[in-house]
Amino acid sequence: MNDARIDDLLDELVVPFEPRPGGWADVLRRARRTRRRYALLGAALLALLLVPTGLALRGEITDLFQGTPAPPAVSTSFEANNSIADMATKKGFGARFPHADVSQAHGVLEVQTSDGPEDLWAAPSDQGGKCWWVDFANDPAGPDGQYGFGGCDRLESGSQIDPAVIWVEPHPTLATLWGRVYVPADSVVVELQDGSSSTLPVVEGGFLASFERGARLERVTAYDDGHEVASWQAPVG
Amino acid sequence: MVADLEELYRARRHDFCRAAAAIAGDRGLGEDAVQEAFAKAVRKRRTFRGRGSLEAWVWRIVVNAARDARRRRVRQSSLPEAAEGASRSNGYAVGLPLELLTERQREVLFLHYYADLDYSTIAEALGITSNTVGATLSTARATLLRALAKEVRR
Repeated sequence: MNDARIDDLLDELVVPFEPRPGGWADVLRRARRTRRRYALLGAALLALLLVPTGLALRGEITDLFQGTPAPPAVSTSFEANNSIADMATKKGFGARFPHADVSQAHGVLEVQTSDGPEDLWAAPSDQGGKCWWVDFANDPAGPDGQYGFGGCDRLESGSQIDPAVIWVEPHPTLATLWGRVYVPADSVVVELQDGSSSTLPVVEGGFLASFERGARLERVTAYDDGHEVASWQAPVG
Repeated sequence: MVADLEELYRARRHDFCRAAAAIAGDRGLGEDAVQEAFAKAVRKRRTFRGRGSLEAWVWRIVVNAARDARRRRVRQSSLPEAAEGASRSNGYAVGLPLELLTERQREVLFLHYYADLDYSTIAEALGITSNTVGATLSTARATLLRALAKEVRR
């Protein structure tokens, strides 16, 4: 048994084939088709922006997503988390873990990433606070819901800001910053260890951002109406 | 830029399609992934900042598209992703025990074999280092060799 045998089997696995004709024209057609969709969406957004609400562009886009009822795949993800909570209770890991009220799952924030939109969803928790779900809008949904991650507020933890930087396999170049602020706040300033910083809106107590993978969080400061209300510092080491 | 993409497409379409078919686990899905990926590259061409090669950038988009197609296919066949590695029904033909490899090992192997990409292009396309590409390829081939040798002994 040697490497040549592997090569033979690889050749058998996908034999060389002639792709369908009309290739490049089809590529351009597909590129235009999606552009047309964006153009329609852009026109719809512009119409909404012309309504004088006095909010900044960023807020408008947030508001468009905030409150969006969760699609079935996202609801299924919340339900799957509820099932995991039940299973954890059965296994004796705790008395009872929070459950999301899936019927009220809705959009909170959407950010644009190089892999398409990334969304933060929330649903009320039966133990106070919220349960959350983060996913990439363009990822395919499976029988267990949308690929992503989430969890429920831990109100007993005592911390006022609970940030996490998470990486998911389908998006190897990106790191998601998802966090919660447990005091009234309208924005956070996020500082990374490379010295850069970003100001993010806090909506329903949650914030979301996408960085290049490898970004390390240094400090998060929450503000409400311009006044600092809480801060979080990365542990040393 | 569109002309560069077209040139790349015309020059290497067969390789793109073959590698994408291997990653997606299906020839049609692979071809479709290549079409979608190039359409995306045309749309997003202004985001290519020239930090690496255009070809590696396109390969990254193609790999993502093929990977997504494969995951959709696996999910549609109701096979949980977590069951991969334990099952032979993972969308690949029986013969080469690819289920023993991780997704990354398979992708490195396919890009190297079907597209004849060098380590640095594979590294750029998958967002890893060239050293990792070499190590991953060696591990993947060693795993397959061991498994095939066992089958022969049986």
